[in-house]
Amino acid sequence: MILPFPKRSIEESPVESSLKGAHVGFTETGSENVALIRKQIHNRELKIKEMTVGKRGKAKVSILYLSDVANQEVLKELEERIQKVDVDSVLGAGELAEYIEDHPYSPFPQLLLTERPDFAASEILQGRIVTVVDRSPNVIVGPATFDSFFKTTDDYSSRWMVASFLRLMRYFGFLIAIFLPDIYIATISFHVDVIPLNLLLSLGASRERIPFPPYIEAFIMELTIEMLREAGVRLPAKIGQTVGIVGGIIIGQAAVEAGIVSNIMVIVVALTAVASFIIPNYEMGSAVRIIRFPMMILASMFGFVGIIVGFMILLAQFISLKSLGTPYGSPIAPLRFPDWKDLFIRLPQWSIRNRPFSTSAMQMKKANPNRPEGDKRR
Amino acid sequence: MKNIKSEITLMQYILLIHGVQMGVGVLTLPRELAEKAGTDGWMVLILSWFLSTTASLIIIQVMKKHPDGTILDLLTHYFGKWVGKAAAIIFVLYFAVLAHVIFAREALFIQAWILPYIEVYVLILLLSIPSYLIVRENIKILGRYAEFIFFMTLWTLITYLLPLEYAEWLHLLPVLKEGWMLILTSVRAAIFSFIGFEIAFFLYPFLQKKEKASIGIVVANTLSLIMFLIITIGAFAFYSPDEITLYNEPTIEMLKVIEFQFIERLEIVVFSFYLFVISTTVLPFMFITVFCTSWLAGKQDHRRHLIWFLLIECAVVALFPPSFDRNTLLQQTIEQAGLIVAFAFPLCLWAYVSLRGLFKRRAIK
Repeated sequence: MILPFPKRSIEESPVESSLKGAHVGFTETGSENVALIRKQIHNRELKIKEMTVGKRGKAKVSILYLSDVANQEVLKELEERIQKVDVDSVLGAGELAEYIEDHPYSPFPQLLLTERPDFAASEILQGRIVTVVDRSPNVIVGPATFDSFFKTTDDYSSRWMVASFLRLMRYFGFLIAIFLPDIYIATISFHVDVIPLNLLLSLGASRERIPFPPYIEAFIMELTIEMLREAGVRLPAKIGQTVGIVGGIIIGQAAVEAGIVSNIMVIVVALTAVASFIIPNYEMGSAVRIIRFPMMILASMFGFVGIIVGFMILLAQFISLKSLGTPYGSPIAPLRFPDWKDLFIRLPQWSIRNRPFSTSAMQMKKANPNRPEGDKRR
Repeated sequence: MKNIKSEITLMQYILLIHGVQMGVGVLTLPRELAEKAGTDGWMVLILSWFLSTTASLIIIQVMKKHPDGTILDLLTHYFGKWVGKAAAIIFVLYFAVLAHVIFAREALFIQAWILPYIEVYVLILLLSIPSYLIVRENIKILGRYAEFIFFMTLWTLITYLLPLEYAEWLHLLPVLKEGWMLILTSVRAAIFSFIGFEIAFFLYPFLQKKEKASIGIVVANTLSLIMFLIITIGAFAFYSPDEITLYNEPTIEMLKVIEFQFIERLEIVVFSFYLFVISTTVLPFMFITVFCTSWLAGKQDHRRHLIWFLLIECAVVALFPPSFDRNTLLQQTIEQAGLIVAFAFPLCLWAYVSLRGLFKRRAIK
């Protein structure tokens, strides 16, 4: 007798936990994942297309979309790409995503992976398409735009001012995580005259005993913190904490006292690390952490000009990338101001009446302008 | 043609043209105007705006006759294959030299202001990387880039208003102290700032709403005029009329007086950011150069041409290291050519095209 496949019970995703959203995460069973999405959108227009990928370990792949909303060309494109995948087996959603994404040589992720059914459902309602891969607790959301990596479900369940503030913090964190170490290196090694005298004196006092140029100092610390992070991820929670204490506090403190790195450098690196963790999507956060290193090299060679050139390269990426054939930078580039209602700040829900332009949905309108206004006093 | 499919919106079209006009010229513009026309220089700007807007409207009128192709297709249509090819070669030379002048000047400015120890060819090599990544795509991407950069760099204009607390507005008075003649004769100094609208020859077929092309180009020219006016009038009020000619780049020099508690020498930061604005001038010129060469070669893909262009550019700069004097000389030469390409050529072409239309109509009657 063959036993049914063992499966895990439904629990909250540890990577994408939320404060106010549903405490439910996808599991490794594809049919259950589909059911979790269907529970959110109980509508006859929610269509499920099934296909199999892989020759040996056949994986069932289900494509979920709203048939009267999702753009047919994008859907066709996605289907064709999945059909073309010809491998032994696809073990996870991330693996499939790598086969079907548009620009494998770009550091930016172009398809969004999520473990949250409510997030996946909200993306389907926006007109996007969700691909569930059996045996993987992640689903692929596409076409993704740059800004969708900065959104969480909590943004929509908390009040709009709070949500907007948090969202602005995330974009700010993104900029800090990429540019702060570079700006520090560039100013200390090339443009010392930009810093006002008082600040310069305290910087000088902190760097007095350091034998290395700033970029070596920065590389030592950045690599240390990346290793600590990776070590912490793989270890069980209790040892992980110990590593954090040993690494973060003891090494940091001792390195400063031994005169290998300066205090200010430790502050810069710590800020950068915190800023990169504020980005809700793990893939995007990792991308930011990788981008930082070439940027630091550019800054150490050419100062501000290096930073600007690095910025231009990132911009070139941002502007020209595509996700399933639709522009990745929408609504910033190509510019489309009506979609800015739900970009850097999230305006109240009732003011967002249309689906984002970037999904090129067949049905743009999603809400009516009239709203109940509580017990309005006359 | 592959690129003909990609379309640009009206805003992208406006900001592409505006981006091309706004570039390295702005840094030295107040001094050049002050040398020629004193503190009345800003009126020269308005006059040259009028002239360049007229010329750009003529360009649009010409392009309307053959809305689905660039100027090269139009010339081929009217004068045959060989004239089209000859024109393409002339355009390639013109835009290549223009791109080279501004690219080299950008590197020279970086060397003079930010990185004095680094050779110019290294800077050119460095700047080639993002240039390649952007220009290898199509006109749509360039349009998005111009759009993005315009909104991203608008704040530099605000920093420019900060030094004006030291401004002495009396410097601008009396208006018209030297009379109209001086203004009319110094138009040539200002008109080069507006050079760049001739890329409309190549942008027109890509524009989505062709009926808005005339309005768009007027808006682009006016936007540039407003920027130029803010910068020149600001500089004229900030410096005394004689002092302004002492500085090579009065526009950056002005920012030196700004100091915050957390940042000094703001001009270094602002100038680094200004590299973005300069890139919106260089990149479209490069694009049109390689667009013309690939049109000549009959190829769809312009990437290989672009790599060649950038390699040649690096080689030229490495073999003949540019200096400000030589660059200025070359700039003056290409500006003469610019007068012909942007003003005389469209006028003649328009005359020919409309006369031809007239004769044809009579012949049919």
